[in-house]
Amino acid sequence: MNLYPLFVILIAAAVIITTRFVPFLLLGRGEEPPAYIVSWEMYCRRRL
Amino acid sequence: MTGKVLRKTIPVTLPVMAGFLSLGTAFGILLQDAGYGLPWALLMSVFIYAGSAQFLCVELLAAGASLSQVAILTFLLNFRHIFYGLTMITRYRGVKRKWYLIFGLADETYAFLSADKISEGVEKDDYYLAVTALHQTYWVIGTIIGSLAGVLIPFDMAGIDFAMTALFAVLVVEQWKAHSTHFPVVLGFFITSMALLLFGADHFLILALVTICAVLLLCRKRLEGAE
Repeated sequence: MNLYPLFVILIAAAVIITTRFVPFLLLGRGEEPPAYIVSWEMYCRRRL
Repeated sequence: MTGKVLRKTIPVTLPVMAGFLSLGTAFGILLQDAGYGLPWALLMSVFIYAGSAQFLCVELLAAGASLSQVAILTFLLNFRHIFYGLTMITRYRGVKRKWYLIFGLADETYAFLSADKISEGVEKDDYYLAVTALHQTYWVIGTIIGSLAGVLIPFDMAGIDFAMTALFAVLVVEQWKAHSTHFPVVLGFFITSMALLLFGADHFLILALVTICAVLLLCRKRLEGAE
């Protein structure tokens, strides 16, 4: 059985999941978010 | 998630449903055409769940790309998700089923939830979960339709892969309309064209992306001032 597509899917999924979870794992435990998050939020919302 | 929550949430997610069903169908047909059937399509839509990355994977699978290329290109295409997450930290604090909400934070879901327009009579936790789950459900259903259609109906595939080009063209138009400065769009067009001419179709993409990032970082202050 050719496992190449399975590895492609696993790697793509791992990269996507990492990009989505990293901010929460690094910054999501404190009581207050860092101040720069507010400006990032405005930036991202303008882009969308 | 109760029926009441779904009844209140489904109507507001209808525009996303239209987009996800059509794009998901295009993805399913393309993947089927590349030789990968419904199980592969489902695997990708359930575990990757990122439209642009999944279309990219079809191309990479067809080209037999190396696994390091898969990792690098997927990261470059989707590292914007890091910034989505940064802005959702406060909203998701203490929310139930937070891990699924983070996993399901696609572009459209982020746009939806960051608007803070929670349906009347619905708890915040339930609304977040319903929107996220419905969006992924639409995407998976579109994928299934496309995958089955690719088997059952003989398609002339010419032009179907243009769906992704069209999606990015729409994103460029949106960026053009949303910003007062058009420098990033012009820069992207210019550097990508030059890289394509100089390095050819097989090697231009990463070089172009790195150069664009470097120039934008150098011009960051000026660009932020122009906004």
